[in-house]
Amino acid sequence: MKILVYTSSSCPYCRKTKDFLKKHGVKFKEINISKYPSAAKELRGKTGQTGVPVTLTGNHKIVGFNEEKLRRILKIKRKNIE
Amino acid sequence: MIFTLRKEKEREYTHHDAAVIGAGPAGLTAAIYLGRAKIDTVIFEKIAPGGLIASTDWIENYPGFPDGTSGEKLSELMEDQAIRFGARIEAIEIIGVDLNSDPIEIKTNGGAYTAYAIIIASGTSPRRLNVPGEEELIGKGISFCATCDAPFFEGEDIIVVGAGNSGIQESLYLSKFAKSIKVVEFLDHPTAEKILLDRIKEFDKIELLLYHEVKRFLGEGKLTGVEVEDRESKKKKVIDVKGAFIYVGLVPNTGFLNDAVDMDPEGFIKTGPKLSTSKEGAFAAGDVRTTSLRQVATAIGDGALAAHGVREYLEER
Repeated sequence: MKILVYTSSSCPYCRKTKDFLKKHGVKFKEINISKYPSAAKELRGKTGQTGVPVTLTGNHKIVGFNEEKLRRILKIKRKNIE
Repeated sequence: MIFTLRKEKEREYTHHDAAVIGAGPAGLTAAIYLGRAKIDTVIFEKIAPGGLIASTDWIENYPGFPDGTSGEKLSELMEDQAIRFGARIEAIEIIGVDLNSDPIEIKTNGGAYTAYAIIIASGTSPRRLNVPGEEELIGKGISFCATCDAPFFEGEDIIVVGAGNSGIQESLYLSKFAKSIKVVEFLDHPTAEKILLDRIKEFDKIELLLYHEVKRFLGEGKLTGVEVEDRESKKKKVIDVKGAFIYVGLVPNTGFLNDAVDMDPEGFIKTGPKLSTSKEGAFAAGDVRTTSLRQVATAIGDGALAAHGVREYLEER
């Protein structure tokens, strides 16, 4: 399942989302709206969102850093102690 | 059996001599000083190192950078410096602390920790206006972070709420994207530094709207306008905008403390001369404590002072 993560350069929650996915070995494609402003327009048109991070996969949209939703949708299991 | 082992594991505590809650400028400075003193320290950070400065466009009043620096760059440098002196940054959130236990118990969403001393440097979060429409339209036109979300408002009319330093500084950044910016200020005068106010005069697209109060945000699923009231005439009007950035102050991140230390009426932590709190072994530094100025420069001083306080405390223990 393809995973797109819309980010911007100085967004703390974007970094948190990317770090979380990397920590759990989840491959994703990052689209940085600071580098590609047209992507902001595209994301806004597609989802109505005007904030990052936004993670898109299949029919799912995860707004912000939402660990529980990321775990549920991407099937990331919780270890005893992380 | 597996269940029993898991419960046993959950009861394990990881111990450090000192723990720093928050990896903003205050927390990272404390970590640098504690690291150089060879005090075994862990830092907890729930979002990402740097704190609020990581999402600040430009910082010009922090010495050592004569041309200014981006907040993102400055926070990276501070993080690198803390790591160089052995800082161990755990990307986990604090759920609660027991300041009456010895050592102090720290509950996190990644297990339990103990430490002989802690520095609370958990910083602040943007204050909300708490007016109708705000909650529903966050991320759908309303933002608290210009450097994160500005590209969404290329060529749009927007408002910035608050004419303090943050509101004006971020308006300057937003002017690279937005078609027009109205800065709505509750008071009858802006409170930003004069140098910033002089700078916005150079931008025709930035307009100050003083002595006006935001009453509500309008729009179904996306922001379409903001209703403001002239505080003198009491007349209301709607400003048509697609974006609103809110900079109306800060609230302390102290929920995890459950009022365990003395705080002022706004919830900021009261500290003594060495930045000790009302509980032994607990210190506070940076924006989270009661102070008259919240800047990178003051947070840095706080971090150093609190680390020194921890060092003395541990030596006397």
